[in-house]
Amino acid sequence: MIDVEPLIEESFERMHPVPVVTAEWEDVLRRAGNAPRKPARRRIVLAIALAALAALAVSPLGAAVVRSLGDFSDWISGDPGKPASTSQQQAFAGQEAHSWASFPADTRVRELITTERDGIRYTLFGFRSAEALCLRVVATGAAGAAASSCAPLRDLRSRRQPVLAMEVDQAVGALPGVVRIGPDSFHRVRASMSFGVVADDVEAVTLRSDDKSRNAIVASDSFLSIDERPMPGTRVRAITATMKNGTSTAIPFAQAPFDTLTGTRSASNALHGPTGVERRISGGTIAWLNARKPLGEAWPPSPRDFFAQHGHLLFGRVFRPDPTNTTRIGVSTWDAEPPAPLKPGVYLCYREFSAGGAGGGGCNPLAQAFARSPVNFGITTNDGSDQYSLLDGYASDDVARIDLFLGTGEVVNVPLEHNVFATEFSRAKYPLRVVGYDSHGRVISNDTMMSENRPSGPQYRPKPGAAWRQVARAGNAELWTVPSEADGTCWKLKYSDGSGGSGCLPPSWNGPLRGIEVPFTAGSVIALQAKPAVARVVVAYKSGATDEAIPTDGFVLYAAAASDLVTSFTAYDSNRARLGVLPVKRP
Amino acid sequence: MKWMAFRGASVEEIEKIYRRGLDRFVRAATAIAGSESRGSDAVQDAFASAVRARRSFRGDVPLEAWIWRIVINAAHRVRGDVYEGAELDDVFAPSTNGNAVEDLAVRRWVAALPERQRHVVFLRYFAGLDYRGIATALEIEVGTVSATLAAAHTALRRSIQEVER
Repeated sequence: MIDVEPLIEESFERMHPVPVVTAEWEDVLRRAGNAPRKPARRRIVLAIALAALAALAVSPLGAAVVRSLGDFSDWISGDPGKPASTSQQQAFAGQEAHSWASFPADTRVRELITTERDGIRYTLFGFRSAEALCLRVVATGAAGAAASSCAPLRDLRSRRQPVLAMEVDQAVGALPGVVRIGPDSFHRVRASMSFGVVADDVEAVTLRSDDKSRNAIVASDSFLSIDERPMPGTRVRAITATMKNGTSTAIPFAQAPFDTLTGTRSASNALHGPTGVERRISGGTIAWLNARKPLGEAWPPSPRDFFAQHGHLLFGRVFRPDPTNTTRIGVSTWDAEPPAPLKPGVYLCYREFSAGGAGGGGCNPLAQAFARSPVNFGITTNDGSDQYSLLDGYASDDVARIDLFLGTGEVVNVPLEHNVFATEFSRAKYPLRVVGYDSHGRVISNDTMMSENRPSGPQYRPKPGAAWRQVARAGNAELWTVPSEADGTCWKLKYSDGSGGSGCLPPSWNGPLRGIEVPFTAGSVIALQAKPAVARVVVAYKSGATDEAIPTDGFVLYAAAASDLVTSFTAYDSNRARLGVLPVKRP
Repeated sequence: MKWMAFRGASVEEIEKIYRRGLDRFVRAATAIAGSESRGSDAVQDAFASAVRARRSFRGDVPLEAWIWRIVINAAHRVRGDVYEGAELDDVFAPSTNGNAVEDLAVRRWVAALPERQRHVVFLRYFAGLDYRGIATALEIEVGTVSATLAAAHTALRRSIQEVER
């Protein structure tokens, strides 16, 4: 059973984030005829802003630390840029006050780069907290936006490259109208911004996109790049650092995804760490949770919390296992009550409490919480531009240590406190392996993630420059295809109600036909790919009835009868010779 | 003769709800109206309507739920005025940053929902209303809200499985 409510909330959050709005009560009264007339101010103004300096923050960039930490020493121990203005600092502090999982009150923000392009003023801020470095860009003027990212300082200390990209291709504003790419429509953005930090001896940072190369502004040990009015789908494909001595270095980073087809994984990375498990654990508990020991902090009241709306809290505590990150992780037990999407019973739930207010989480029936593994984890990414993701979750009492093996060969000892854990990692470092050990150092859990949520590699990417083509239309659906980089086929099915599906297929397969989308319900639209020898396809129904479909350009899109079930497709060549059968499988 | 008693609402009470929940009102109205500017306009108009009609508020439901009803109707009216016949792509505007697989499933799910169900979903997830609040705002029974969401969740599970396949 898929727990859909968190999914809905997260998807809605991405598709329709809570807008930043300014109250215009006088405008309401004027519209109601209750107020004296005055020069019209346009409805609600979307605030942009410094106020949004919110989500992050930190302590002065100066402070302690040694000077022998390598090329990023200005970031680790110095004071890049200049102090933010009083109003900027106050805006930041004001926003922070509203956040339970906020940065420390004495966080001091530094202004690093300010520039203006196309009527938009961009200001890059930096701040450091404990063991994390954060950057934030605030755009104001003709369009507003704010984006931020934090990196653990360990990434700077161990970094072999002289540049660390922290946000890549973050959208700023939208232009009127839409651009169609194949079956889909996209807004054009006013600008796309990328930023990060640079080592002391970096002379220039060059970003190559699909359509051009440009030099970023490099100042205050940072870089900021603005791509004005890029075409939809245009992405940064390469970042190069040029040193003061003239040498150049390619900078690894995670490309911002576009569309639904591509995953993220660097070709030079590999899976590291132990394989398999040395001891199998069945079941598992969290003793302090069951005994209701008041460790850590109390569970904060959160009436909009998913759990709070579907049951009542039995016991819950919150921890901050990772000192480099302000996100707190809560673990709790809940009694689900009808009416609810959950079956009645006791659930073990965990939840992130992040500075921005958003946070993922999930629930399992308490008795089955560790049925699959003694380590349960999730990965949270703010958006496709942010170069960092958070890995967090909870573990049973059997787990004494958790290691995260990155694709670069680095190993992160994941901070684990009272059975909850969290750590940030670079999205450029897939594939990952998450390994749990018992108190004797034996591997008791072992999970891998080869790429970010979806398959990666050339077979899952449309060929650069290739155009989507509508190959078939039937019922309320259109089938669009484009060749993949690996000479396979990427496809999109688009229904007239706006819904659809997509995927990619390898170049070869067995048999004359293969299914692209083969729903098993009556009345569905079925999409098939046919080899060139296939001249016609006979559709067989459960009732014994048959129908015929003719491939066009190697594809079949067939609107099945609403009152019967399709059982198979049989392919014939132009001489009426039978080439093979594709049965329709039903669960 | 039967007299209908009106409790009425004060401008101050309405203003308090406006200031406290403006972002949620705009978010939900935007989802229904199809764009942030139309959604914002609809919210301003809705609150103006609420101020004008405040004396007719009976007090038999929470004031906020009464206002939600007005906002939903205003957003719907704006959408109908401007975008009659528009596809649901306009409700869930095209992404500027690509779509995650799960977003695709949710988008597909929302697009497939009948209008009344869609309003229930918006009020649940954008407005954060509980079942009773949704029932009041849409003038339906609490049981209908519960059943509607249960059916909608089932449809989404199916949609996710299809997208992931």
